[in-house]
This record gives sequence, C-alpha cells and structure tokens, in this order.
Amino acid sequence: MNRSRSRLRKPFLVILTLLAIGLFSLAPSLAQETTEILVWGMGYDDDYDEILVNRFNDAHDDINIVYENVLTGELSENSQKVRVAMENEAGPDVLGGVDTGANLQALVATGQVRDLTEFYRSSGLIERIPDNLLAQVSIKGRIYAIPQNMESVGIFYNKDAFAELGLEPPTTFEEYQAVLEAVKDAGLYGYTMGLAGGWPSALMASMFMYSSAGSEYIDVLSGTQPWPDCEACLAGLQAFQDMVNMGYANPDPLGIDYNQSLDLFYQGLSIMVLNGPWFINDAISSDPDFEIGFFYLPPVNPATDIKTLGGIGSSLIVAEYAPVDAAFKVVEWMMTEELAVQALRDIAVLPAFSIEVPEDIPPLYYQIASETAANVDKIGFWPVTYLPPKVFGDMNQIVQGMIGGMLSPEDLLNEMQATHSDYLAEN
Amino acid sequence: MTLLSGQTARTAGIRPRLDLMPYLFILPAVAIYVVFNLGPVLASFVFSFFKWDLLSPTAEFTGLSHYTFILNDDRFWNALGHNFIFLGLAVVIPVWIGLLLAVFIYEIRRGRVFFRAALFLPAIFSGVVIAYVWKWIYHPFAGVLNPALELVGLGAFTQSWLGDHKIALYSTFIAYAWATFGYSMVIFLAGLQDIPTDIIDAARVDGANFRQKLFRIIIPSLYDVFTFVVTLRIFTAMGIFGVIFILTGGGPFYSSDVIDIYVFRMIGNFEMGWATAAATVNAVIVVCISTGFIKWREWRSWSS
Repeated sequence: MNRSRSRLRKPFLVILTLLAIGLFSLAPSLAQETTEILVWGMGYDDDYDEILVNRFNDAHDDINIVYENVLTGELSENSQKVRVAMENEAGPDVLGGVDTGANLQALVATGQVRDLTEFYRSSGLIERIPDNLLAQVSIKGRIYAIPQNMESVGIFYNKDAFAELGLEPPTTFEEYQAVLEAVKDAGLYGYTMGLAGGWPSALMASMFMYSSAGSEYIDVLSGTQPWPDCEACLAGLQAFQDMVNMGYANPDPLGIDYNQSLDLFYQGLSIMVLNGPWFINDAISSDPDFEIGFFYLPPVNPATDIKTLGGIGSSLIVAEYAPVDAAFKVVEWMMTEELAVQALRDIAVLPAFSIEVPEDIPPLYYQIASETAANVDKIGFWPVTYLPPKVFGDMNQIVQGMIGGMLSPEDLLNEMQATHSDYLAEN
Repeated sequence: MTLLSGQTARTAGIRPRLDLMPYLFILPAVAIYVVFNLGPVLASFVFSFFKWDLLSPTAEFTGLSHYTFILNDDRFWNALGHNFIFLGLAVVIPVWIGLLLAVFIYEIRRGRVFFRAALFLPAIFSGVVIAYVWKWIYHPFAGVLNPALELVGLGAFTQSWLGDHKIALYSTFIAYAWATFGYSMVIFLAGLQDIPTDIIDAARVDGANFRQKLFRIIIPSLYDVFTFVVTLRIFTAMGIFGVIFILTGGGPFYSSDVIDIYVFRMIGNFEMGWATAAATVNAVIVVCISTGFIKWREWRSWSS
C-alpha cells in the first residue's frame, strides 16, 4: 500500500513542478504591463533628479521612468540638443528644465510639444498656476508647458551690517539709493558686481531695464520694438550705470568675475548682492559670519507693470509622441505639493505655485519661500530667455562696454539694435 | 648570374615585388592623422559653405555667404587685429627672454639644474592652471601684483589689469609669455649644446665680451633654432584661446577678443557655418605667415 502511494507520488511531484514552471513563465505576461517614460532632466540638479526618479519608480509598478542625463553643458547647447532630438522624435517623453520665451517657442515650433490645455483643465492645474505664469507658457492661447519652479531675483543683504548701520530694507528705489549712499559713507560697498566672464553683465543690465520698462522691455527683446526707442530701458540702464559711477558698487567690477564678487559679500566688504535662489545653497555652505536677509529690488520705475524680478525657473513639457497617460501621470506626480515642499526643504527650489511653507527649514529658505509664495501671482518674466543665445552673448560684452566707460547707455541701445537686427536678418 | 652580367630585373623577366611592410608600419600613424587631423580640417572647410547647427540631419548650402558675413563683421577684424598684436609680441618677448635665460643657464657653473627646472616649470602647467593663477595675481582686491608694485614704490603703475579695456589684452599676454618662455628656453638650451665649445672658448680667449659672444657667435649659430621657436610662437599666438578665455572671456567689450574666442562664441551658438568660415580664414592666415617666415629664413640663409 505504502509502496503504491510512493509510486504515485513521483509523477504527481513531476506534474506539480511542471505546473509551477509553467505558471512562473506565464507570470510576466499576466503581470501588469509597465510603460517606460524617457525623462531628460526634471528641472532640478542632476543628483536630485535621480533621487526623484528612484522615488517615483519605487512607488509605481505600472510606469518606469528611464532617466537620461544628457543635458550637460551650456543652456543654449542643451536647448539645441533637445530641439533637434524632438524634431526627429528621438527626444524625451517628458522634459524638465525648459525655459520660457525663445526656448519654449523654438520647441513648440518643432510640432512635437504636446498641447497641455486640456490636461490643465482635467487635472485641476489651471486653478493652481497663477495667470501671470500661465501667460508665460502659452502660445497663441494654448498652454504648452507647466511652470515647475520659480526664481525670485532680489537683493541678498548682510543683516548684521544693516543693523549696525541702522538701515532697513528699502521699499522704493529712492530708499534703495539712500541705503547705498549710507553704506558708501560707512566705507563699504553696497552693490556687489563681478562682470568679467560674461553672463552677469547682461543679466544685471536686463534686471534694471526690466525693472524700469516692464513689459515694454519684453517687446524690445522679442524684436518687436527697436532698442533705441525704449526710453524706459534707457532710464533703467542709467540707474544700473549709477551703481558704478556713484561709487555704490565695488571698484573694478570688470576685473572680477561672479564668484570673486561673491567673496566680497561673504567677507563683509560689500553688503548687498543681486541674486536668485540658486545663490541660497552657496550662501549657506559658505557659512559667513553674518545673517543673510532678502528683499526684492524696488522697481526703478514705480509705475512699471511688473512687481517683482525673476520668473519661471524651469517648466515641464510632454512630447507629442510620448505615451500620453503615463507621461501625464509622471507630470502630475511632479507637480504635487508634497514634492514641491520636499524640493524646497532639500535643495531650496521654490515651486511655481502657492504652498504652505514649512517652518522648520533654514531661515533664509523660509524668508524667500514665504515672500515668493506670497507674490507668486506678481512674479515677472525672465527677460534674458527672450534673447537668442548669440545676442545674449553679445549683450554681455556690450554691457561691459558701458560699465567700462567705452559706451554710453544710448550707445548700448544702438549696439544692441545693430547686433540683434543683424542676427534676425541672418536667421 | 644573368643579373650580374648587366641585365635588369625587368629585362630578366623578374617582376619586382612591392614591399608592403613599410606602408603597414606607417598605416596606424597615417590613419590617426587622417581621422583626427586632416578629416576634421577638411570637414570644417566643407561646413563653412553650409548653414548647419551641428545637430540637424540637414544642412543648407549657402555658398560664400558665411565668408562674406565674417569679412564684413567688425568684430572679426577686431579679433584678428588682437591676434596680430599678440603675434607681434609673442615672436619677440618670450623668444628673447627664453634665449637670454638659456644663455644664462649655459654660462653659469653652479645651480644649472635648479634654474633649468625652475624656469621651465611654468611651461609644463596647463594653460587653464596658468590662467587661474594669473587671475588671482591680477585680482583687484586679493591679488599680489598691485600690492607688490606699491611695495617697491611703483604704486603709480597699479592697474585694473583685466578690467581696463586699454590693457586687458596686454595683461593676458603677460600670462601667455610667462607660460611659454620656459619652452623657448629649453629649445635654445638644446641648441646651445650643439655649438662647438672651442668656438666659444676661442672667443673668450680673444677677449670677446658677453654682447659680442651673444651677437657674433651664439645667435648666428642658433639660426635654425630661432626659426623653429618663432614658427612655434606664430602658431600659438594665432591660436591663442585658453588663457584669454579664462582671464577675460575676450572682454571687456571685445578689447581682448581673438579669433579663437570669436569662433568659440559662434560654435556655442551653433553657428557652425560662420565659425568654420572664421576658422578657415584664420588657418589660411597662419599658413601664409608661417610659410612666408620659413621661406624668408631659408632665403636669408642661402643668400648669406
């Protein structure tokens, strides 16, 4: 009896084993299908992007983000890479870190950027993103990108030095000039300027022109209004030039570069620096002997239609050829408040929508995040994103010419007109 | 046997064998040269006739329009002018400093190895390192140059070395000269070793002073070495990039701009047609200058 049972047991075990093997081999096809989404840059820095990708993949079985870090090098280089890749349908499904202005327009012109207007409505994003930011990602009434984070540009200042000199953060440009005068009288430099090596020149001059001319300056940058006709731009340039001519800035701004100029700030020689949130981590890691505060640069022209300097730091786009449902899921996840708070906490990136700013973050993060969150509906444009890279590069040199006394502000506008119109004629 | 009697291999019906071995030996070097030197040069020349952004699969033929554009561009001529200033200085200052230091090392009896190593040291650093060193030397607040000038009573010469458009180019040249004189020195030193010592000893016995030895014996004996060193300086001065790019970026307001920075700016903007046209024009100028110089030196050598 026992022997016949053991005889039966063997074939039974064999059948069971075969069944198990069969089931295992069928398992992948029975399991839920995974959609791969190719992402190039999520709009943060590379290391943080990878952390986010891993977090997403751990939490989702149906979608797997494949992250490729191909966006290395200059901004203009990256824009070009992405444009060509998308034109050839070889680009990413989801792309972060997209600039508004000329860059977004060039990408949309490829015909491969998905119109997100309906997605905005269905996901409720339309209620979360303020109109001033929506306008920046819209082309001819259709929305093509999602503002992801914001760069609020303003004056970082040495709070201890301000207290010692009995100064308060100014609210008007006249007050700001009075502060600079007081700082100068105290033997310190008010405005930190390091223009050797390029980009800060065009950026700073742009900030002053924008702060004076507002949206008229955007028309100039877009090529719809001639540079020399913008009188408010001229007033902005003169205010910028005064930073040097009146002795408010550090001497020899053309002899030092951006990083060297920041050293003056950290050493307490100059007590204010115009900068963006990318400066926060650097400021904290430099650990200066003083507390750093922040205020918005008061507009040169109080009647201008902009309120604060800065703009959308980066935005997300979805490719026309991407698996749409999966791509939208990724984008929705990236726009959650939870992730925005995490990015603020981890890397001091400010979201492009209002969030409840956590109080347990470093004070400088907290101050800027709170002020930005409170002003999210007033944030302006990043003017320089409207210039083609070549013209922006020329602008750096031309602004150096004005600061070095080789050009007057009027000459600067004429030079810019010449270089900009040459470029537009050639392209 | 028959060959020994005066018949050639052909008349004797023997086919000469083509010995491929030498060609096989030089093949890797030729392949590397073609792929990495000749190929890119030719490609660059071809690109100069096309409007192409480096990445697009298509390119539009534009004929000579890029050449017309750059030859009408004031900034191209401005940059080229700076290259010529650099060239004029480069073929004189680092060459003569190198020569005098080589003679100094050749003449001294003690510390020859130390001085040779110490003076050659700048030549082994990369241009980037040298540029960053000089960036800090020139720094208006933390640099050592201005305080050093004040210390020795030359306070009137303190400058904004990189921020003043009138001197920025010359400030970059100082960094370049510092980086290159050691190389010239070593080549001259090698040339000096080839001068027969009995000639110099005979001159010494005849009572020749240092100036006479230098101009009557040493420099004429180093004629070919001079040609080589100056030709080398022509190439480096016309292709100067790293030092200027890091020190001034070509500024302020293009006052230290040179052709390679002009080209780099175009490449950065993906204007490959303009960039390659400018690079081609520069290459033609360099070839003309260096060939002209070498031919002139040969003619002078023969005629004398």
